[in-house]
Amino acid sequence: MDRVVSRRLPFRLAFGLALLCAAAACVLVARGAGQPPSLDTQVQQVAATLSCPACQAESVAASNAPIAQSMRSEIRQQLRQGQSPAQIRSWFRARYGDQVVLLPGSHGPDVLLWVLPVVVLAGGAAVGVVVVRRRRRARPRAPAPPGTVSPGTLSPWRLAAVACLCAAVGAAVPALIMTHSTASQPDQAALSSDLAPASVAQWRSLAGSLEAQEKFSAAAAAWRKALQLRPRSASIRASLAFDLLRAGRPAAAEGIAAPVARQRGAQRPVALLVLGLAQRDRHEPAAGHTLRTFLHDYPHHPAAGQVRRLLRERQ
Amino acid sequence: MTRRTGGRRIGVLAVALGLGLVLTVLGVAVARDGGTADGPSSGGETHSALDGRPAPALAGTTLTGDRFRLRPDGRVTVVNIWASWCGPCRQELPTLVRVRHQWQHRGVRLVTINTKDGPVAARSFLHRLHVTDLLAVSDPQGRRAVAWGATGVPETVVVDRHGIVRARWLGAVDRNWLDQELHRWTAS
Repeated sequence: MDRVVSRRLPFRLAFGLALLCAAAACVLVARGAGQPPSLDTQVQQVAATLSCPACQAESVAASNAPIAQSMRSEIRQQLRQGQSPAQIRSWFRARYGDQVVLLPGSHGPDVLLWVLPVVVLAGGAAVGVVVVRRRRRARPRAPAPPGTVSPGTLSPWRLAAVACLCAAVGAAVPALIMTHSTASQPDQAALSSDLAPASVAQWRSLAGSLEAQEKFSAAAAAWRKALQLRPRSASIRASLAFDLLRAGRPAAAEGIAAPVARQRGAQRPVALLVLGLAQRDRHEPAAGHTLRTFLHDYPHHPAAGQVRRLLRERQ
Repeated sequence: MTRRTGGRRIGVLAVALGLGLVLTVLGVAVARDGGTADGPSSGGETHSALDGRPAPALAGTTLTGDRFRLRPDGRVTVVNIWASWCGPCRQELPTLVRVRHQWQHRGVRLVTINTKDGPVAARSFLHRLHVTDLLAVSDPQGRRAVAWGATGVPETVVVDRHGIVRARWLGAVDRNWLDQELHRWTAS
């Protein structure tokens, strides 16, 4: 009896896991069905199905490459014009070829990616049926006591476990193929290093251009790239902090500006100013002290007048 | 005995199924990768899905504030995509200007797309390179470059007299390649 129970346990566990997955999927679908997704969400959804042509194994949604940002702008514009995700993918396919679409296509060898899971599922079920029939034929036995299932018979638990296994294999195969097809693009990886900004000066220049367009979030991303190349640069840190503040991220700005504000140097006034303004945005009591230190140490700074007005408003 | 034979058959069936799956996976993966295998390893001439197709639309405001719309006018068009923050663009722009000067009387024009850039930075970049009369359509969001199938900057596309995309170069353009393409498409 114990042996029968211990044999049944893995099947029950597999079935339980499958039920949990199904329940989670239902919750996700129900949450998604409640309200139409925002434009930002739709852009991300479409971008996640497109491969960044200048990156290695990154979707347009995940990449920070300039071309991926441009592609997201195009997706947003086309969604605003009422184009469907399929129409947008088709537009990109006409320009970048089939490999830009991360979903398998409906022609050529890609058809296999759709057909394979069904074939695997059917094959698994067929093998299960054959096994059960053969065992029944080979071992006619007395009826089992109620509530127990002998190892040779086809219990609902076991059938469900076999089905789960087949479905898992069926899902894993296309996932593996799609991962492989996007991960093995060394040509594109080599290109991205040539065609994206590679030096600090180029990232600085890109950040400056983005600031001129008032795209502070993207400018901050460019400053971060520059900071990765030159982690000890106080001027890059100060510029990054300033753009984070202007992008509405005072907490991140505070973290970047604080070390620069503590040191003596040419970047200290900007760092102190950004730190004080970020603290003020976050309603921190330290904001007044930081801004007063800024005024005390740099009374002739171009921003001093504005800071004095802010402090007066505060009082 | 029958049971054992049956079990062995099923084992063989399962192994065959597994092997078949692995081979299919490998076959599909190789077939899918085949489409990207002919690209250059680091810049250079490349093929794109737009080759042999009508050139995408290009219309907008230039850096000098004029309106521009690209229409086939019987000339071969060199379309270059650049930005002031891109190092190779600085290297290739004088080459492009020289090529335009050499070929403009033989039915060639140069049109550029200034992508993901600000007009102030772009104008200052051209001023530093002493390039004063470049036709550059502003593309602050990068959407025009995407419409032309760009993967980065700089990129150069050759469009024939009838408005069909014929050739593409990734990275700083090679003068010999461009001359060769212009010979070919101005002659046809």
